[in-house]
Amino acid sequence: MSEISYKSPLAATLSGRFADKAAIAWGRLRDHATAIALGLVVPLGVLALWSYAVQQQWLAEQILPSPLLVWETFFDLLATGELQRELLVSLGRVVAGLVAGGGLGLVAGLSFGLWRPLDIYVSPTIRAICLVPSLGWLPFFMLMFGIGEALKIILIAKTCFLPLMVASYEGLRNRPRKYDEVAAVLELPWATRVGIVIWPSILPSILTGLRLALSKGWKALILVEMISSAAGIGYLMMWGRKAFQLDVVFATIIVIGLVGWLLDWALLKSQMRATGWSFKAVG
Amino acid sequence: MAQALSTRAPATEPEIGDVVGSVEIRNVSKTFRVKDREVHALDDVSLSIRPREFISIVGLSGCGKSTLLRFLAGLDTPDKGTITVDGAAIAGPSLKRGIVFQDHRLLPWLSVEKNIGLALRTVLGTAAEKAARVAELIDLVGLSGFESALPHQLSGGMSQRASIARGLAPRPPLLLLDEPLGALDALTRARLQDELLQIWQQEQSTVIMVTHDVEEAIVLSDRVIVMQPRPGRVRRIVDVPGQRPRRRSDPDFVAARAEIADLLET
Amino acid sequence: MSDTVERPETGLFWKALLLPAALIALWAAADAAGWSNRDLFVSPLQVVQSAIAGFADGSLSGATAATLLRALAGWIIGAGAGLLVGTLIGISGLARGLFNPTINSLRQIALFAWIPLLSAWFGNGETMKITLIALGAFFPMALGAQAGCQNVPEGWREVGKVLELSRRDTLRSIILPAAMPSIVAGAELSLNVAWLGTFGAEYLIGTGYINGMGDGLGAYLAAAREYARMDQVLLGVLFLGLIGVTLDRLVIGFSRKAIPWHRH
Repeated sequence: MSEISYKSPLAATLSGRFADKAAIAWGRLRDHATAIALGLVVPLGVLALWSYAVQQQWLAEQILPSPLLVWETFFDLLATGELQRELLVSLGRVVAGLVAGGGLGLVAGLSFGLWRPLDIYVSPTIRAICLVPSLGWLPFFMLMFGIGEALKIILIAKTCFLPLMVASYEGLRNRPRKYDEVAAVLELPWATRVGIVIWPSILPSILTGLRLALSKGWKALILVEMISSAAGIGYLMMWGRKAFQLDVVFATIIVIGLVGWLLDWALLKSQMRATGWSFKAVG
Repeated sequence: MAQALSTRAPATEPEIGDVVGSVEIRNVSKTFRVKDREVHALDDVSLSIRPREFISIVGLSGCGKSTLLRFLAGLDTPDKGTITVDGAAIAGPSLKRGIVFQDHRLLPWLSVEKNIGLALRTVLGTAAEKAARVAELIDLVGLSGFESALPHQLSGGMSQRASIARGLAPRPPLLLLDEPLGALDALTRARLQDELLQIWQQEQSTVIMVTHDVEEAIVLSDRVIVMQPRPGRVRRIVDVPGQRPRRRSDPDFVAARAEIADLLET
Repeated sequence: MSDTVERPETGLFWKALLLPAALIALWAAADAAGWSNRDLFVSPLQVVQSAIAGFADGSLSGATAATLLRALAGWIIGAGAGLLVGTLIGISGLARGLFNPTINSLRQIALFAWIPLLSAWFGNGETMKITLIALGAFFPMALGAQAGCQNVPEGWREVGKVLELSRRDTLRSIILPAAMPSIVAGAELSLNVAWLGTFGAEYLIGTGYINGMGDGLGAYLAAAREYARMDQVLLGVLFLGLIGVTLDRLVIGFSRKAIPWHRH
């Protein structure tokens, strides 16, 4: 252990190693603290400017509510349970749309990837339809399905369809063939091949698609709730705007951002757990 | 021709005939930390290199030969010890020490001409003088006709010639070559070895080349530094006897090759 | 099924058109037989006729032009700012520490969630729409530029060091060209968002809480839905998709010219 020539012999002992590790840990801690402090400069500056602007009454209270009021409103919404109620409605819609649209997308992508005629004759049409973003289909769906609950689910389902279709299709087409050859050489039975070779090789792609679908679905939901809904977090925000209660608008914007981030973060975590190997460079 | 070109400090401008390009390496050590392991790349390495010498450093991978070259280029610093070039300590990269990387590192968005010209960006001199120097170098490395080609249109050998021209452009008294021919096929390699010798004789620089090809080292060098790994140390310095061009069948050549191969194996 | 063993298939394009052709034929037949509900199921002929009418009186072409112009204006502002900020964050550790957390937090907010706030501040006119589009266009571009500048391979940076390039020269000759593929990808995404953001803003303002305001493809579609004009709705949807794809193609074509050394 004494090959560390640039250190004094005293330090090159076990306790020296420990001190070394402690120093590294301390360094990391300090780096984190610096990063957090730096990152807070801009938000705190904005907050200070905002408070000052309100105090000096640069803008009408209705147009720029004080940060304190936004904070209070946020807790009022929590205390009355209104926020949780609307959020639950929104999350229910996203999950329903994701299951329906994402499931269909998965089936479609896998069928196109596995069955060539379907890929040649059907998939171009589906892809062309998907080229028009969900937002564009909204007026069409509103005419077809009315403005009820079905509209929201269908729009989210349409949004979630494409990412999963593309992910499962590309996953199937781009997966490395060399493992098929391994399976063939080992004479694995069909079911084992699917379970051990094929499915794991396309899972990373599918999970990435799932994340994209959820993030897009959440954004589509906010929009459709803003346009036509009597419940949900988007509706709450629109209600705040119509009543000119911008404190509610501010609070809901923050919640929307936070929930969107949390959903993505949770999926990313589970993705890393499920397919952590794919995040490491494969030679 | 382009004599007015000089690096930013005109006081140390090398005149042809001056004795410059000497290197003193004193007790240099370096330890890298890879995750939780410490890798002892260099341990107490000392060397002195005379002006206009052609030096090769050979050794197994992990002997620290590339690390030593990166110190000389000023891209890394040793933990302990000093390195001086013409009496001055190295404080970061400098145009006075040209380097040619193994992976040529030509910028893919610049033509051959502009890649070479990039080395003259901070050098004193008019645009016309710089253009003349670039043209001279393109001629020297045999790339005439490919001035405006992009790197992806060149073969491996041509890319490496362009890279050598870029390293030579500011007339560095010291030229560092990091396995410059390592990625080339045998025929191209042999041809470029001859060209390297010509270039060295014409440009009058000190050359330090890292290689793992023993024959290449013997063909080109005045002295071959044999290094050993873990920790990286100088095993022996082999003087290569005989006039250039050297033939692989010369008894001196065979003896030197046997000596170095022996050192590398044990 | 991998590309190398795939035998060249002919007529893929025509085979792809088979299904849509059959669907349109079925649609026309259903209409001719009088099966469908007249209000919602317009005939293909009717869609073509409204397209011609829309171009003749300039309502469709005018709306498309207004949307395109607005999208481009917002995109230029937003992507320009994004390029500057992204590059700054990409090359300066201090700027990264200062702005990255804020930008990453704001990025999480769905673009259209800004509409209530922006409309309260700027009204429902052009200022609000352009601000929204620019805001949407900003993030992908900033991210692309940042990623590009941060991920320049160390080997190329070392070339800049050994050639003693100044900071400006390093930025111009090494970092920005190396970041170009990532910047172009950011620009493409950013244009896409700008196009959609424009449509969404127009639509939301043309519908919802303030009816029938504004112009552009979004307002055109909002009005078409209001009067249950399925032919116009379908036309609007078709145009939205077509122009979105055309914009994408333009950027991809441009990027091939701009970065010839990059393998696509």
